Amino acid sequence: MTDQPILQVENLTIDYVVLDGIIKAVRNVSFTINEGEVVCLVGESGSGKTTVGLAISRALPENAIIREGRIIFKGRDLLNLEIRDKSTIEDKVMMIFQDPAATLNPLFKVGEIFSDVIKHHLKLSDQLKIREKALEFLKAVELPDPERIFNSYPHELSGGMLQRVIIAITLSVNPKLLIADEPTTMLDVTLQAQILDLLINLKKKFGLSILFITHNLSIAAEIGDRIIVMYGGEIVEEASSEELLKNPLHPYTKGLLECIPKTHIKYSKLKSIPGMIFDLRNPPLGCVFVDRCTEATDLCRKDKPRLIEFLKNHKVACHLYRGSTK
Amino acid sequence: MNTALLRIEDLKKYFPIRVGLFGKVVGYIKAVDGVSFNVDAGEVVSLVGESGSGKTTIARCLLLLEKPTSGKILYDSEDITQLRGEKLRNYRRSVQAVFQNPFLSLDPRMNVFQIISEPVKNSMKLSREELLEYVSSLLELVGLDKSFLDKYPHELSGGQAQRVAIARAISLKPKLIILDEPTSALDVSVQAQILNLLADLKKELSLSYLLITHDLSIVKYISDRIIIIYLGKIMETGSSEEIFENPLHPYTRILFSSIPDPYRKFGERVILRGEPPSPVNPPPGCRFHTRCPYAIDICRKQEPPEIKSSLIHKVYCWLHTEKHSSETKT
Repeated sequence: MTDQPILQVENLTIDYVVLDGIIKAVRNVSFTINEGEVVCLVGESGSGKTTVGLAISRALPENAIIREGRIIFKGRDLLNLEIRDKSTIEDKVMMIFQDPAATLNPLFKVGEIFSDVIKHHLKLSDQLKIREKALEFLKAVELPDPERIFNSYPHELSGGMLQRVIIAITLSVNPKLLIADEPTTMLDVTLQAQILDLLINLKKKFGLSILFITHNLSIAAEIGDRIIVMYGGEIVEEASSEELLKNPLHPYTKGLLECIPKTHIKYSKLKSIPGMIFDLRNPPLGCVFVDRCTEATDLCRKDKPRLIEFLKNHKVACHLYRGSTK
Repeated sequence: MNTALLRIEDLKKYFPIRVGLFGKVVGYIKAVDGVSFNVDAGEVVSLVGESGSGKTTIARCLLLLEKPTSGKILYDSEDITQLRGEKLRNYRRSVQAVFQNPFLSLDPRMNVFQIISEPVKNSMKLSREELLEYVSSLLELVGLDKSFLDKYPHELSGGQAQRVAIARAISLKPKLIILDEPTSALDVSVQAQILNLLADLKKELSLSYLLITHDLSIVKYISDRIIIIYLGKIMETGSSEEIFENPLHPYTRILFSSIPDPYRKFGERVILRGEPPSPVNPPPGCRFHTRCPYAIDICRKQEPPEIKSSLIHKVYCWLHTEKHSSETKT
């Protein structure tokens, strides 16, 4: 892993225009991903984590407006690209989604979808070569019997197999950055473990950087080099995964860690974070977490804490950690 | 605690596979293949398994949504498939369900008051005021206030909608609630809220639960007894402590190791290879042998016997007979 950032996101602010107002989905989000690094974006529903992912792969829905910010991928601003540059960049940033069955067109065989992608992106036209290439990638994702899968329709495959097929298609265009949006949420625990294992192996093999989006802090801790915790559209904490688990600073991160049912502890009562997320049309003036925080003060209600590097390589946005900046 | 509220004896449910114009039956999907267990009054029993293990089919049989192919389901010592008239109505009242996705199980055209009061209206004679009061008291029990009465499902968050579904389930004062993955669609912080709520309600209303899930991590906290099921057959069953402290079946151990744990680094776990085989032609012998890292010859030929490790801890695995017999010999 080198410390060369492959992706820099700066002050990203995204709104969604809906019938009854403007949803302020992402506000002032900045982070970087280094080459070969796995960065996990962790947050609950409504935290804006998927919107960030969609913005980077430039797949935002039409009602989304990028108010501010820059997304710099390998030195080029993705938000201000000439049309002819777009296709070359598109190959390098790929995204996979939560529901593998919804990603593939049910009317086409896996092989047809795969061939289409290879034909378009790798500029191959020889059918045999295309097939060979596809089978090679299906093998790389550890699918048994790639020949059969090449000739199957999506409905003939299980969820775990489909997710592998999608990963194979994604990798075939040789991306540099993979954005994985909750790729294991729909799967059983045993399959989830398989897919995570596969992603880590492929990362090494293909030299990928991964932005892994999840609501599950346990998964993030297992596979991530660095974890970014989002809440209500803003980053509240960022640190290496070991540091974040050993020494969580933000009350939200602490709460999230306590919510995870642990198998080796006997409970009388599970900890939970009371309340729910605020209405994203009216984000609070002060700290985003103020309504659910047990340690909130008047200051938290009035003034928004900035994301500061409180400890070395450990950023937090919380008034509890003011004054003693390093 | 000693009276079995619900008793399931050798339950089998086969779905026929039909082909062609005349629906010729060419085979059966053996979704549930000889499962027996019971749920005592006041007990929480968890059924844990992957997709295709038959756990939801068992729930559907209990709710009379499917007719079992063979076997018996006894509720208060009466076979539920034979119930008629008042007894059947009584059964339906005392066994309720909460499903995975609350937005699919709540009618989007009804407000919360209508949703919760609908079953009540049919079985209790209450005046409009009494009904309103009763529904408000149910809402309070699940941690929502009166302002939710005239909200519609789309105005609720996932956690709130699940609370409404729970309020509806307890509205008829049931004895047993079947919880089919009640928290899988929710965020972690909300999942903990709902699990706590379920635990509180159980105590307050002296309920029994049959909790169906694929996630072992949520099971420990709430259940008394755990049943591990794979491809329609029970692999291991025991008290919650026994299963968590001393899992015997290789499948149970692998399930444990699949749970993501924030304090463990990747690679320190056994990962199960492959996917469950098809329930149309389940493997001969032990059903798990195709994926079991410890499978020996006999596993491929004969079905494993029941091995009792304690009064209620039972495992179906040849490995433990070996150990057992060699131990008794020496």
